[in-house]
Amino acid sequence: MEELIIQTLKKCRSIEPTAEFKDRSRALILSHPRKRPSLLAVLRREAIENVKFTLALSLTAILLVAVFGGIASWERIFPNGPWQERQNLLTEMETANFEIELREAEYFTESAKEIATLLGEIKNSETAPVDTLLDQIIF
Amino acid sequence: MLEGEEKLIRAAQRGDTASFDELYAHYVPPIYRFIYMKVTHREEAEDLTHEVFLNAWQNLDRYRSRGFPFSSWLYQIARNEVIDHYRLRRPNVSLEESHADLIRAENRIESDLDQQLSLEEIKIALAELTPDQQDVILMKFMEDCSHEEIAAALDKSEGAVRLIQHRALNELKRILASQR
Repeated sequence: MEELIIQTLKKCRSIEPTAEFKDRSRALILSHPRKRPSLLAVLRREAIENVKFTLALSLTAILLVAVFGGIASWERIFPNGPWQERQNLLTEMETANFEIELREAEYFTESAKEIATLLGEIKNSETAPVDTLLDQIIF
Repeated sequence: MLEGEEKLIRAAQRGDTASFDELYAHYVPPIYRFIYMKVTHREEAEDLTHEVFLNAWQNLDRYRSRGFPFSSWLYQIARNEVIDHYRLRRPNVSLEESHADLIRAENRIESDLDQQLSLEEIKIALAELTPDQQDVILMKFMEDCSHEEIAAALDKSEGAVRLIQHRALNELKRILASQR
């Protein structure tokens, strides 16, 4: 039944308006003046088109700034952003390095004094075996 | 879809009557058929078809192509014209007159000895469907419109159109089976 319905509907494609109707109707339609769109409608359409264009342009500009400006620009614009934490960590790391270097300097100063004392003792003591004294210096 | 349709529409929008003439010649038969299957006689179909194209010509500036053929817009106008026609000017046509119209139309359809369903039977069965079901059946099977085009004309989703088509075919089968 479904096929039959579809076949019959397809055969209906041969239904056509008469040539006389087409000619008369076409002539009447084209003799009618076109409705000019109201100023408001034109302005609204133009406004929508402009908004679309401006929006596309703005989005492109934002994308370009983000790509070429990079994070550095954002750091300048928003100094309290999440990147501030990274800066704090870097400062902390540099301070830690400085403290380690101070401790090393202290250690070297003390060991230099000890070495100087021991070398003095070696010089003064002719009986002490040199190996023992060297062991003292090293260990 | 008519070749170079976009260009023709743009030219017609600028007031080029030759371009509109081309669009008219291409689309008048399907729109006429669509209306003819929904009204009782030929004169009504002609009047409404004329109104559809007059409306299209006068409001061509408001047409925006969104990837759908011009026909979707015309079908939309045609649907509204038929709805208005039934709402405002309830036809008062004698049965003899509409029957004579149907016979004339059937004579124009190629006669096929094996044809078991007449145009009259189909028209009567179609009249029992909802307006949306009628539109989907006519656009899909008589005019071979895609679901996308039908969805655009009816302002519905493609899924909804498929569902309407399925229900309409079942309903048509039921009506025609009960007629026999």
